[in-house]
Amino acid sequence: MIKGFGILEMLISLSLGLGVLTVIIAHATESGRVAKKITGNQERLEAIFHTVDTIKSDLNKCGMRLQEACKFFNIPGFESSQGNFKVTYGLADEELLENALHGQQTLKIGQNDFFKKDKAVLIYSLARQVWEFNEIGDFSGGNLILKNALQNDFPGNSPVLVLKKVEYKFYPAQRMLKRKTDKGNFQPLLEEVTDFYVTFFPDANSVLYRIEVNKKEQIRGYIFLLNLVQP
Amino acid sequence: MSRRGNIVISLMFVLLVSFSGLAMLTHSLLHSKIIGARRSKWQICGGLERVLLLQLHRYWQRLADSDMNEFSAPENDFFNNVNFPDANEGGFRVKNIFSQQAQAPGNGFLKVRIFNRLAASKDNSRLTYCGQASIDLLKGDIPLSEFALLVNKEIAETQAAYLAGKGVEWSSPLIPLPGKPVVEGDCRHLLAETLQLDGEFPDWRQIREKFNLEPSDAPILPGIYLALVADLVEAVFVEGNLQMLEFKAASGRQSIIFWQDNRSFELSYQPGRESMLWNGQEAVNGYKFAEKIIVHGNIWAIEQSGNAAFVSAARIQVLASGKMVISSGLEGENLGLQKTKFANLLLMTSARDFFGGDEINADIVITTGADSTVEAHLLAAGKLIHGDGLLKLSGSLIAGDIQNSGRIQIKALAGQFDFPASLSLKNFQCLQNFRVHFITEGTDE
Repeated sequence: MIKGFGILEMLISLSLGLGVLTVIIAHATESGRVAKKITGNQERLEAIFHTVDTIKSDLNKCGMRLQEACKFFNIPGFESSQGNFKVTYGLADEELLENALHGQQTLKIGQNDFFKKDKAVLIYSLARQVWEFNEIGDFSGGNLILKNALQNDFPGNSPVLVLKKVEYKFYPAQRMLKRKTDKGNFQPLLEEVTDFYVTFFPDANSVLYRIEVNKKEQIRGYIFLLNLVQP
Repeated sequence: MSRRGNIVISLMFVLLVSFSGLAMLTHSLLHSKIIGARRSKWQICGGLERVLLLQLHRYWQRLADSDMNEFSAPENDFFNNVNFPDANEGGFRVKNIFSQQAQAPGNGFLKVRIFNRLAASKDNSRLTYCGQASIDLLKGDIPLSEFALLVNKEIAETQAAYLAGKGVEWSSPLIPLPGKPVVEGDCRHLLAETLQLDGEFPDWRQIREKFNLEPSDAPILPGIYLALVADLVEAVFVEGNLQMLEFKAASGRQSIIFWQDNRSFELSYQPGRESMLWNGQEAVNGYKFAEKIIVHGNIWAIEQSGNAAFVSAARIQVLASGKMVISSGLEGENLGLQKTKFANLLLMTSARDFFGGDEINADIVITTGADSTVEAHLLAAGKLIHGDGLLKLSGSLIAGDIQNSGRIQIKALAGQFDFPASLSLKNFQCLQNFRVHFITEGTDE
């Protein structure tokens, strides 16, 4: 009885072994490639979902607490241009606890955690038909110190709103959609964006947007700006 | 040995295939779960938003259908969770949380702002939606200057239905007043007050004394008289009908031209400044003008000349014991900043003669043609009469009745003028200024 392989058997087994190994390596490589592609697609889809959620959330808040000021003073809650749109809404509101006069810089209002340094504020009075923007210099103990002196007289109970501005901008060269809030910088929101447009329908208080990703996928949304409507 | 080798190779192959398959499957399952979770979130959010809007609408309807005069203290007796219990619609719950804030009291009345914070939630979900609406409750002797749209007449249906039937459209949070309000007050004392005459009602003797005329009880001659105090022209008093009252704004100056018996008198000024120019006999150039005009008679045409009728700072009040005819559009200058369109003019009629107290025709008639814009507050003791076409009224409207064969669009915002404040709804309670502050996902921010 001869033990072990002969030369012929050895060659055949080596050939078979190499063949099987080649198949396994090729398959593993392909699997890795497919897995990477699937992961990439999923991540992109996740990013798209996140973008859509963020846009929807911002648009839903558009004009919040600003309905009256938008209507009577024509302060825009929504502005758009090519590849760009801006949403403004009130984060919180308080009323003047006492009259505020032209040139005054300290206002008396109720305590509210949203009134923070550097935030933009809108003060208006329908009775006096006046309004103005300003910025918070400091806020403590109900004393709101403005960065600039008032340009008008405001009676007690005039609303004071803390504003939040959110802006979206499409950068075609970078194929990127970016978002910024208030005075911050534009931060990337979605990559591989090949087209982005927004249309505002003022009569219907609605916004139609379209995002094209990688010249393949298109996401469209039509959102009714609930908070711009004043019954 | 050859058998052992084949087994190892086969096992390795099977293991590799299994690993790659499992990895792909796990990714796909995770992905499906994420999509499922998102879909579920969207569905719940959609449901919450829908039920919140429905509840807000019901709240508004309930306010519109309720008469505050039926409650002694509506801020507590009406706005509570007994009248507005929690709603439950297919697993979606909406709670009403009321709070109130006293506003600066007016002359003879109180104002309380009632907030309703509506919170929507769903069983077995952490997602919430919330909204906030407010409304002002007015109590006491409420002056007409607080009202943006009012028909001072007994009507069978609601004011909203009545106005819709009359072709009146409005874009403000009007709460109809089902209390059938009756306006109390008399414009005659306005004349006495404005000209600073003694007594409640004016008489010719006092008028003569005011304008330095020969003392007598006889009426004064038709003409245009200026009521002066120091360097101020308190008011322009017109005896007799005016053919035309013309408004013009140019270079920051407001001009008012009075036409009577084919003669014209022009008054121009810069609001709030000692800048008056007058082409009549009185030496009042450089005086300040208090922007009040009182006409004892009818005004047969009120017109705009030039590009704008009013400078932005003008607040002109015109009271007539008689009829007024607006025969052209009246628009203020466009500042080009924001298109704020607050009315700069108040036109008010008295249904009683200032001196005799006799009832007279106090209609305000608009004959501006097809499509026009009138930036004025109209307060007609008689009817508001408008023919065909579209009238855009950028101000408040208070009238005894409305006769309209066209369309009237009203941007009803109560005007802050002195004259309407002299008339009021006595011991009345009503709701004004319904506002939705926000509707948002989650708790406010």
